[in-house]
Amino acid sequence: MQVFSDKEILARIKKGEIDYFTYFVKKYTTQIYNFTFKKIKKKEDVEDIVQVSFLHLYKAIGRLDEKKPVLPYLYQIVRNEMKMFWRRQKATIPLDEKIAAEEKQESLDSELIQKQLESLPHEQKKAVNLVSEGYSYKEIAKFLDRPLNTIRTLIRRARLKLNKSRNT
Amino acid sequence: MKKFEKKILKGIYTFETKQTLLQLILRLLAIVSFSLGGVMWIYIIIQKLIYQETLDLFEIFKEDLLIIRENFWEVIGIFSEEAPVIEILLAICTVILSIFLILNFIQNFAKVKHKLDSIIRFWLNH
Repeated sequence: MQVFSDKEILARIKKGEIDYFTYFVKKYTTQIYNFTFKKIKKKEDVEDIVQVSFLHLYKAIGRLDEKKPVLPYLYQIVRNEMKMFWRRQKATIPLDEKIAAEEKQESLDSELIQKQLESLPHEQKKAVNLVSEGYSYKEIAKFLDRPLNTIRTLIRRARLKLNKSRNT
Repeated sequence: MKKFEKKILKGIYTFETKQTLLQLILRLLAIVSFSLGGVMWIYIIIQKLIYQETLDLFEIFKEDLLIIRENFWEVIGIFSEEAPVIEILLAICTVILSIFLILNFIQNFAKVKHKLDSIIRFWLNH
């Protein structure tokens, strides 16, 4: 492989001879890969970051100063990409943990409510279940064949009992 | 690592192929549409001038030099009064724009050609 300086390669790529970008890829891939691998241990993530970094370098070539070396610029791109990667990781991990914690709490709550419901008398339990299913007092009265006021009383008593057992 | 390098290059060439083709198509489309626009405006202007019989004014140039010299500014004055100014301005703008686009395309042609050569070479080898 012929050896070109970064300046020559940059000038040629700027002229449209994009096959010269191969020199950059061959010259810096191992170095950049090892640098990234030290910080991120997962092979797939490292490959993604390196690939995207080279693409960003390619996109920015028109703006690069030919007098300056390319490697520091490439390192800066990789650093930024790694920051983005960690930010994405941060954004997802706590959320998952939060959801898991909420789900756990919810299942504990529902277990507790179920236990408390079991302790209620049969009619009260039925009425509360129907309320939780979204039925109106009128519908429940019709369903249980009881006067409306009786249903109101049943539900009020059930709520009082539930509150009492929750507080104790 | 060689396989990975190829993967990187493939990503770059995919991006560049899309970009170059899109730019080429857009540039050619712009050139063709502005040129056609210019031709269309010139055609409209000529049609208008024929309809108004404004072009008959220039028959004075078939006369003697003395008559031409005496009436030249008068003819120009009448022509500028009768000419469709807005259409002429639009035609000038479209023609200038299309010339600018064509010159720009010619100026960048070497770069685009190099890019296309590289792209074709890459995709033929991979």
